[in-house]
Amino acid sequence: MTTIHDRIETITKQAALDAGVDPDSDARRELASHLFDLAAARAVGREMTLADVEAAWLEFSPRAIHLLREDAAPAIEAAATGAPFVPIPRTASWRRRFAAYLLDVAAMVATVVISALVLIELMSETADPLEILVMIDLLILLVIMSVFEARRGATPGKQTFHLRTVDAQGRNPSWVRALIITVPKIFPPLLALDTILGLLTGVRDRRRLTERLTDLRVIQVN
Amino acid sequence: MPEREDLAEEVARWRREISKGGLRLALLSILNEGESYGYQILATLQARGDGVLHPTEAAVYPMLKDLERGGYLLSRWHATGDGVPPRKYYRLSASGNRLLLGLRQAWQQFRDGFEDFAGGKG
Repeated sequence: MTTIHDRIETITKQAALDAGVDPDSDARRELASHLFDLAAARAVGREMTLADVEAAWLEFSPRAIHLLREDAAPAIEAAATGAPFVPIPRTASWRRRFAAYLLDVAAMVATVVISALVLIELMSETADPLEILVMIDLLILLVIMSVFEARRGATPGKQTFHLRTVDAQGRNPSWVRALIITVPKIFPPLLALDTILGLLTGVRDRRRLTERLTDLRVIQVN
Repeated sequence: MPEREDLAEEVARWRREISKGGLRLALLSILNEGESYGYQILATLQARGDGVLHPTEAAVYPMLKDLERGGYLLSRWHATGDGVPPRKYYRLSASGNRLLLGLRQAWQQFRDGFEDFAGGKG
């Protein structure tokens, strides 16, 4: 049976993950404490129920981000001036990112195969050209994917799945950062290592190691 | 000529602007009375001061973090048990006490000096 404590933990940890914040952070724990008090305020004179927690969360959740956000200045400014405060966008799930990656891979493989076949046909005199051609193709794809990341904030696969890569200020990545996070995608073993190290090191914020090192994040934009 | 709604919004905007500084002073004043946690601080701010500040979590928690990061507040976690999540209690540090004194003096000067304009003598 779900207890009130369990439900508050589940709700607030999910909110933290969505905001890209460590679920074990002080901010998340403070959010849990605040949600409990809000629910308790609804249950004055009687025993608190799960329905109180749900109702409190329904009302409070749009403001919950203010407790999780590390950079306090924008929220203070927004509260003071009445300007709309843009909360941290939802960090993209691994599943959605993997689907976007598969789409990119399919496009890349198709491009490499077609261009290699065409070039082999044209350069049939060249000795052992296949490996060289594939390497050239991959380098060109690396540049193209980096350009997509830096100019549009997303590869074609990410665009299809409504994902964007942003820096801490919500801007597109710089050219160098875009290149750094794209390199592992061209070499799958490197991507696996990058992802595993991202999961093992630091907080559970759904970032590959290269994304954490470059302070980039993949968010869901719909 | 501005509509009545525009003027009301203009006044409301001005209130929000001046309450930004006021909130910091009010928050430190509450903690000067003893340590407290976020929800309790928010409830106190909402209950006192004739509702001039009417803050929400959106203003209070970021400001608590900001003051703590600046070294003006100290905090500790306190577990009450019985299924109640641990609460983060804040209290003033020595720097926080000095900041409160400074803000109170500044507020006093501001209020006295501004009376000439706000009182409608001009």
